[in-house]
Amino acid sequence: MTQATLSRAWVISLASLVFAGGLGYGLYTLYHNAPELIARANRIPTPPPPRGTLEAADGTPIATSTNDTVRLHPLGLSMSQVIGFGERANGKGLSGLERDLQATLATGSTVRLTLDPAVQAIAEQALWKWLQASGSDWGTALVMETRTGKLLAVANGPAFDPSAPRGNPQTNISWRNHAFSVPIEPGSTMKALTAAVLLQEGAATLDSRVDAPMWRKVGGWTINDVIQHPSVLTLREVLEYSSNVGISRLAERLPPDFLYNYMKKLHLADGKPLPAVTVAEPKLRPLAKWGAIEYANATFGQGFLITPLHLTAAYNALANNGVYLPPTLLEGQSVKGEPIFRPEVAQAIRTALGDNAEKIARSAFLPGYYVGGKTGTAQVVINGRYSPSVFSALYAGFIPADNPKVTVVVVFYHPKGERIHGAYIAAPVFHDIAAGLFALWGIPPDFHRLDQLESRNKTGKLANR
Amino acid sequence: MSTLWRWAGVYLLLMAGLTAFGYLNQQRAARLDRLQAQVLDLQRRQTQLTLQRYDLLSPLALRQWAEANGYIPMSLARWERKAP
Repeated sequence: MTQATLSRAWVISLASLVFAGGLGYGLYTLYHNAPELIARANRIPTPPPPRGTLEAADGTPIATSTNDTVRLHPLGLSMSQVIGFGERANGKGLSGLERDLQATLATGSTVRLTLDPAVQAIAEQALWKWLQASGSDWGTALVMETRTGKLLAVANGPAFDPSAPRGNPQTNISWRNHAFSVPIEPGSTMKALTAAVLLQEGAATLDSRVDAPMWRKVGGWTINDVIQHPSVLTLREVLEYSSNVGISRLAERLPPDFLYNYMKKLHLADGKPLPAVTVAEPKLRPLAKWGAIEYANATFGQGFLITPLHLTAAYNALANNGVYLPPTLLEGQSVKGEPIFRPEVAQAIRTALGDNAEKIARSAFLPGYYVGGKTGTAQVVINGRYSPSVFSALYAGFIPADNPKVTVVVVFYHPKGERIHGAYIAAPVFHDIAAGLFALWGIPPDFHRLDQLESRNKTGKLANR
Repeated sequence: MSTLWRWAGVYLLLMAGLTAFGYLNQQRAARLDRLQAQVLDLQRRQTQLTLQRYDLLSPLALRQWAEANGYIPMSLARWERKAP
C-alpha cells in the first residue's frame, strides 16, 4: 500500500497559484473601486448639462437650472408669460421662449434677453393694478426702446406663477403672453398712423379741416363718433376728439391702396415681426377685398387684427422719426431700420399727441413732463359679430413725446363696468409707467411746465373733459 | 518547509499591505462622498439663498415694498424750489 504524499513542487505551485489569484483579485478590486484611479474616471458617463439660463439684459437670471433642479424662476411672477414653461420632469419647453429657444437651451447655453427687470417691474406693477381695477379678462403692456427696437418690458396680466401647479390652459389664461399671441383690433390708436400717412402723402396737414358730423353712412353701414365735438374739425382735432367720421373722411383723399401699403410697410401684416420668437399672425384682408366700409374701418383701426407687439413696433416708427425698427427680444440681434415717414411727419404727429395729451386722455397726463399718445377703444368680434359689450381698451404713446426714449402700448381686453374706454383704464397705466420711468432715469419734472400748468389752473382755462 | 513559511510570510505581508491600502482607500472614498454631499448641500443652500435674495430684492418686490410703505416715484413728488 502506497502512502499518499504531496510532493514539494505541488505545494509550491498551489501556493503560488493561490497567491497570484489573491493578488489579482486585490488589484482587480482596487482598479474597480478606487475613486482616484484615472482609468475609472474615464468610465463615468458625463451628466448632461443643466438646461441653459434665460437672463435679463442686466444678467439677472430669469429662468435657470441647477444639477438637481429642473427650472428655477428667481424673479417669480415677473416676465413669466414671456419666458413660458416646460415639462416638469425634464424642462423641455412647452410655451413661450422655453419652447421657441428649446434647441439652444437644451445644450446648456445661456440666452440673454433685452428685457430690463426694473422697467419690467414698473410695467407689471402698473398693469396688474389697473387690470384688477378694470376687471378686464387680461391685459398687456409693452415698452420698446425707441432708438434700438429693443423690448425693455413685456408685461402680461393676470400674473402667472410658473412654479405653481398649472390649471386648465383653456380656462386659466394667465400663462399666455397676450402681447405676442393675441391679435386684436387696434381701434383708434390707428388714427395716429392714418394721420401720418395723410401727412406723408401730402393729402392733409394737421390744420386741414373736414366736415365731421357725429355719424355718417358708408356702404350701408353707420360710422359713429363717441365724443361730442364741433361739426368741422382739423386733423389735429380729429385726433383730439378721436373722430371716426373725421379720419375716415380725410382718408378718402387717398386711394385705399396707399393706407394698405403703409400698413404693409409698418409690418402690420407681418407674421414674423420678432426674429426667433413665435408671434401670432395678423389678419388683414387683401386689398382686393377692401370696399368703402373696409377702408373706412381700417382708418380707425377696425376690421383687421394685429398683436399688441405689431402696434408697438408701428408706433415706434413715429417715435423713431419715421424709421421702422424690427423689435428684438434677444440680445445681440442686429436690426436694420426702414424709413417709412419723413422725420417732420413723425415729429408733427408726436407734437399733435403731446400738445393735446391732457385733452386726449387726462389720466395719461403727467404734470411737468411732455408725454403723449393716442387712446383706443375697439369693438371685439364675438361669434362673427361685433359684440355690444366686449371691448378692448388701448393706449399707445411716447415717453417723452418730443424726443422719445421709449414707446409704450397698453391693452386691456374686455374691461367691465362703466369705464371701459382706453382713456380711463389704459391711459392710467401709461401714466404710471411714465412716472416710474422718469424716476428710474432720474429726470425731474420741468418747473417751467409746472408753472404754466399752475397759472393755467388758476385762470380756469383747464378744460375738464 | 521553511521556504513554504517564507512564502506564506511574504503573502501575508502583501495581503496585510493590500488590506491597509484598501482600508485607506475606503476612508478616502467615504470622505469624498461626504464632501460631495456637502457640496451638493451647499449648492442647494446657495440656490435657496439666491431665490430668497431675488424674492426680497427683485425690482418688483422692491417696488411693492415701496408702495406699501408710502413711497412714490420721484416724478410724482412735490418739488421744493430754491429762491433764485
